[in-house]
Amino acid sequence: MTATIQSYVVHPAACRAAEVTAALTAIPGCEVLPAENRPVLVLVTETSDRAAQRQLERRLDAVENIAHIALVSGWAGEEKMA
Amino acid sequence: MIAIDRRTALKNLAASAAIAAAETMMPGVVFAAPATRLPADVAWKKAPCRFCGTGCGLLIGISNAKAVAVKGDPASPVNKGLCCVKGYHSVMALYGEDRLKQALVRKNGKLTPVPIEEALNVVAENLKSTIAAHGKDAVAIYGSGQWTIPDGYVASKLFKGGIGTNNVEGNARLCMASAVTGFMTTFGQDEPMGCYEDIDHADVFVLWGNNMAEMHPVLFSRMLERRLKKPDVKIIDLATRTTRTSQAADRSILFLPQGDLAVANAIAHELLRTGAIHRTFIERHVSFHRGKTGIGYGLQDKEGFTEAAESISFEQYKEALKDYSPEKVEALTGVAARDIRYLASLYGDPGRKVVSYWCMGMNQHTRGTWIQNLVYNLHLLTGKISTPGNSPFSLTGQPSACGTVREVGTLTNRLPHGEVTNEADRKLAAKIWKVPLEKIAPKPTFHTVEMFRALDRGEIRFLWIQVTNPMVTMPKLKRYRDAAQKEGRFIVVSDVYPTPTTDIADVVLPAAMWIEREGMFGNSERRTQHFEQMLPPPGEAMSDTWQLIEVARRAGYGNLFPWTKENHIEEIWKEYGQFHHGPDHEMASYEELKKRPGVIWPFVKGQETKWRYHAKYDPAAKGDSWDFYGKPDHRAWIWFRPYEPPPERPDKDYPFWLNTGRVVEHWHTGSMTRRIPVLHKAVPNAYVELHPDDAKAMGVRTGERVRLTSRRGTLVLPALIDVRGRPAKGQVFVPFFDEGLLINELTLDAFCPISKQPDYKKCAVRVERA
Repeated sequence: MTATIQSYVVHPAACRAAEVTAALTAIPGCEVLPAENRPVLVLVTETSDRAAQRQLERRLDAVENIAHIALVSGWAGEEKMA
Repeated sequence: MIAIDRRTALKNLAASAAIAAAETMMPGVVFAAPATRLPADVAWKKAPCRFCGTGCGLLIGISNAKAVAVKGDPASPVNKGLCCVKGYHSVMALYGEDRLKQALVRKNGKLTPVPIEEALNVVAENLKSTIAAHGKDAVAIYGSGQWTIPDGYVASKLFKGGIGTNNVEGNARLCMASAVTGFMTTFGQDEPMGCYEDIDHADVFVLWGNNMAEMHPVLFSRMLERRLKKPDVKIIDLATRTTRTSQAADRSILFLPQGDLAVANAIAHELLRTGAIHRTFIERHVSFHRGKTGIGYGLQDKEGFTEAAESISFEQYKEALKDYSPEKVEALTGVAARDIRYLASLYGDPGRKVVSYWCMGMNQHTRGTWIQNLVYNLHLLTGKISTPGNSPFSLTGQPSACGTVREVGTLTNRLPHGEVTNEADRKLAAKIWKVPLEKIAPKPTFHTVEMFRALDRGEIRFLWIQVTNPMVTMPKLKRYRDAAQKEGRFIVVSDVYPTPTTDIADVVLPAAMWIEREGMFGNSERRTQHFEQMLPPPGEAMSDTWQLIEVARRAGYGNLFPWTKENHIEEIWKEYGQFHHGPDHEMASYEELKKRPGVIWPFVKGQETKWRYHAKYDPAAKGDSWDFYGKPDHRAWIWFRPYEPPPERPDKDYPFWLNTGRVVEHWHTGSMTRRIPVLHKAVPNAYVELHPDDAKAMGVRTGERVRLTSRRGTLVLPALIDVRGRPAKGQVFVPFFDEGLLINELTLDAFCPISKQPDYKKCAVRVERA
């Protein structure tokens, strides 16, 4: 098992922050922290193994109206998340 | 299984790091506090960050004897709740799998685990036997700007007051020595006159060879925020390489290596030509001088230097600058005359407040002292100094380069708040330390490069290295690595992880790291910050302070350290504070430090001195305005310093300039940050940056292997083209954090003859496809 926690800075396309927030929040393992005064989001993801991580990345790729997404922080280990 | 607190801690760290990244990219952006995932029992404790010299205040979340979270301390005036990516991941550096938890002693050629008591006995016996066989000046300690203040104080007291040798140095000699000699020669006192609050008042920021976006990201973010609030604020990046800082600047100006000397003189020339100077300030508060020229580069062993200052008139100074017209300097440095005039217009505009920032670009320079003098000249000619928003400001690289190496004085020439050559300073030290005056030697011995040369020559036989990694950081590395491994040398290394320096040790002592012990750091703006012990150190790891005391007691110097494990940090601070007692100069009390997120010294009658040398802000300044009381004439000294070329320049055999430095993700030699998975993954290895035209001419693309060769060594690295920074044509840049790709095999051990600080920014290399 390779549990993974990652964080991203997400820039939605113009005037699409609400839609992007909703789309990301709907993905299991995703937690979204929207900025209060700018159209930018912080996304924290958690997956339990490599397959789940790959699936999550595919779902993120499929979210529309993301202008830019940058991986900031990540942790991967052989331990299972409690 | 990862416990719930571990998992939530990781999620918090990940979220915090992304918030920090967003804040750096978009100053002023506000996020709601993340939903708390922390255990109910988490306790938040304040500490300065472990890494750079900014000295950000952190709050460390502690639960069940583990550090589980980090956030910026909103009460800290330094960072106001912000953090950079290293700060947010700082506690993860405590938990690398290969932390040193046991002492190691070399037996039959192999480092072998032993109880720490045995290792301390071995160290003490070798210290004593070396002194008995070769004399007191055959033993030395080499510490760090990452030493806490108590570490450095105890090291200085043991070696200078106990053993009686001035063989004490710190790695800040490699990063801050030119700043010290710059301050001393111009103002007669060390450390900046201003503070970070200058950012909130300045209209212009001129960055002299300083990639703040990566090296001081939190201050950079504060600067960008200032510009957001006041759109006419200008940020000028004056550098040899295009970086993330250049991209955010209003103007990026590139100069040829060493050209900063000429550019600074050309700005002064232009200020004088246009009359954009503060005549009253100059008449009342400045005197003019020149020193020796053609002063060499320290390339030979035991090469000495003594300055000879000569007073000159304003007219003589003006005459000396006549060769530095913008047009002439354009030809020498590659900086357009119009850019020099633009810079002069900014410094000379009486309606704009100007801050100049610099760090390693000006410090690691064979004329490091001179370039500091020359930038001070610009502020002194215009009177833009010692008032809010007007500051020439030397940024520090390490968390306590100021607090420990400069203030405690862990350099061969220094005593706590004094100089070994000054009898009054020696008398004070002898009185406070309760040692005979003659015990404290009146002459400096070896600065850092010369200390390692003395190890090579056999004059030093015992060397104790704490909190630093010289087998990665010394220039012309092979000579000094070979020296450390010579027969008859005994090397002790105190550290938290295995490094190339522990590899060459005879004894390795496992050290308690940062919040695993109590201590204090002193940052760039004269701010002293206390942190308590929050965690137990792993295994038999012990603080560097206590290691020194344990060895001192075993070696017969125990009477100098009559303290207990419980009270020694408080007692050290109180004793050290005696060096600073005075009507206009004082350090904050231990109790005050424990309460506050740091205190700026001088701390007089309960007030911080945020700006020195001006009577409005500084109780030591007399009169009603500026008073540069560090100099006997109460004037700041403007020095005429000419342009002189570096010792090694590109030629037909070695046609490229090599520049070395850091990246935002890694701290110095990477011994801690490379053990933080996300930071390691972000930049897993060193690389060589090439200008795209040079790369194209060689047929090299990003990721392909390139061989660099200097007169001292060769190294093969992957190329990086326009990914992070862009060197100018004919130049390459390599970061030094990677112990697997040691760029200091190639660098030159030339140094500023005044500060003795090596120049890591300029030497000549050949570049080929590998």
